[in-house]
Amino acid sequence: MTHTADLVRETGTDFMVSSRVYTDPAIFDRELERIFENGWCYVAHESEIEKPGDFRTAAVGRIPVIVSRGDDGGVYVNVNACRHRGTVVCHKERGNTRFFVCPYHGWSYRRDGSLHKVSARSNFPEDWGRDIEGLVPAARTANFRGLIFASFAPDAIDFDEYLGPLKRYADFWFDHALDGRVRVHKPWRAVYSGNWKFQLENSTDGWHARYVHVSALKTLAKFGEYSPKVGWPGCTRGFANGHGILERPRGDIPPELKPTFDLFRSRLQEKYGDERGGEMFARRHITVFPNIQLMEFKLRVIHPVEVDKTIVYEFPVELLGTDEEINQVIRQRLLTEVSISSGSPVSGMVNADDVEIFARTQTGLSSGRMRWLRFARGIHQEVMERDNEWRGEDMDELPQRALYREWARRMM
Amino acid sequence: MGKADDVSGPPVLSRREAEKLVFREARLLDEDRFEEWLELFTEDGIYSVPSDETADPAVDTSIIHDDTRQREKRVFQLRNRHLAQDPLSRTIHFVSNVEVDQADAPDAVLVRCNALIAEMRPGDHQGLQLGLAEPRILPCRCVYRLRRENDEWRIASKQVLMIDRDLPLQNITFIL
Repeated sequence: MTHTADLVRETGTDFMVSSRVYTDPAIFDRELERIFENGWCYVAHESEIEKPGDFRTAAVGRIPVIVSRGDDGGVYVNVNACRHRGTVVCHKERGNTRFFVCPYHGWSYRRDGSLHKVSARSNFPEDWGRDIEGLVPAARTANFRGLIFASFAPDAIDFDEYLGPLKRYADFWFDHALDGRVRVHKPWRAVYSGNWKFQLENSTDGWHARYVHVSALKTLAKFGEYSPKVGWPGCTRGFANGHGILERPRGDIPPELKPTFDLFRSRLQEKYGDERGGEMFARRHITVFPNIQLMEFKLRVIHPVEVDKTIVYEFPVELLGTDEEINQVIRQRLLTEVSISSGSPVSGMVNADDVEIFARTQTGLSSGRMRWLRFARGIHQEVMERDNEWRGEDMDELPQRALYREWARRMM
Repeated sequence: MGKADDVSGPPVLSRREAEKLVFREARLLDEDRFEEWLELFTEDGIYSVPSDETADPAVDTSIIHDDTRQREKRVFQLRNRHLAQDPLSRTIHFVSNVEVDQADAPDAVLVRCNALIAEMRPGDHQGLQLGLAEPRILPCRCVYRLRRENDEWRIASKQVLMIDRDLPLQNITFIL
């Protein structure tokens, strides 16, 4: 393994990442092990498993998992592989069940993953198998406002510490719901030809839109849904542990949706006060390293498949406790593509162009002739906001630097 | 949509006439005549590609759910430096298994057919760039609702059910 100094290099005035981090299968394997399987990884939202017996399957790196609601109401994350011969026990994406029964020889597990029955038990020695407890559980799980995270590292740091000062902004995101909770709807599902970090970098990249999304912006302007005069102030934020934010005022509300968004803002200010309510009411793309992004009223989940193949899920959210009028307009904005942050990732006006860039970038990097990629925009003007949090201008490559500082630390 | 109500008697549009419209639509798309394609729809027409055909498109995600305005935006973007469609996809639509049923209104019919859509973005003669010169075959079931307006048959809805609609999909930035 190459030393990480050969992969990420930082000086006071420059920040460079090796092209190999996007193309080398050995580095990809190590990422799955170090960053995914031994870090904190998002696996599911609790609204997907509301009742006892509800489950959904997911993956932590290469580890297939079942996330389920037990009879005691608790959330359980277990490896989706039978203790007998290792067969995947549950092949459905989601559902409800009394038991998880292995299709191979019929061993069965309870809703919390504990062993229910070894089939044909009388054919084994009487004291055999006492050590078999059930499906292999994740070492740690955490529930942050309904987001369920899992780690297979027993010594992983506490999730609160992992989140650090990002919590303040993640709370803003959830507090848009007047009950403080969201429900996720069925996702869009996309796959692209490129490394998983392209999507991670891109969602907090305030610089690319005026180039990559020129056709979307032109289309929105042509149809009166966006004014190029609005301008894009805002900021970027970078955090310890790889998290990042792109933050902008909501300047891209089409005229016919504006009265409802004004109502939305006033609801937040009524509940949280003028200052906090006003500060909350911004469009933030929040990366919780390494695999989930809280986007404009949707969750974006990134799943690495191969070094140059990535699956992305996008789950629209419903804000619980918030007026139906507001939720309805949010849905309309999200589902009908009237804004730069809406629409289907595969067939919409915006994300499809990012995906095209990912494929072109993967192609360019595969040449092996691009040793160092540059992430230096704004490196001379990072402002420390508080411990473990830095702020930059809205097009600075600060969130990307935060991501690769953590990446290098974890890959050592 | 997608289910015919029981109506006795033969449909008011023959299979031959229905095929004429569906084949013409395929040809307009394959010849990049998107503006003419727009004209095939009724004013309230919907072009939809669901990922779950039982879901409510006003609440749940669709791959595509376009009303007239959205279709016009789609075509406008295709003509205006849409990166994901530069170069533009070439498509060949194969349409078969056409069946016509009377719909629940006197001036409307349901047309069901299967489509095999071959798609490829040309270019990249060195064979290096991901996504170019990679032919894709997309098998689909289609359900049209056609409506007669001023003696002309138009598409009131076109629903395309892709065989892999609930799986992670590559870009669908051309018109199915």
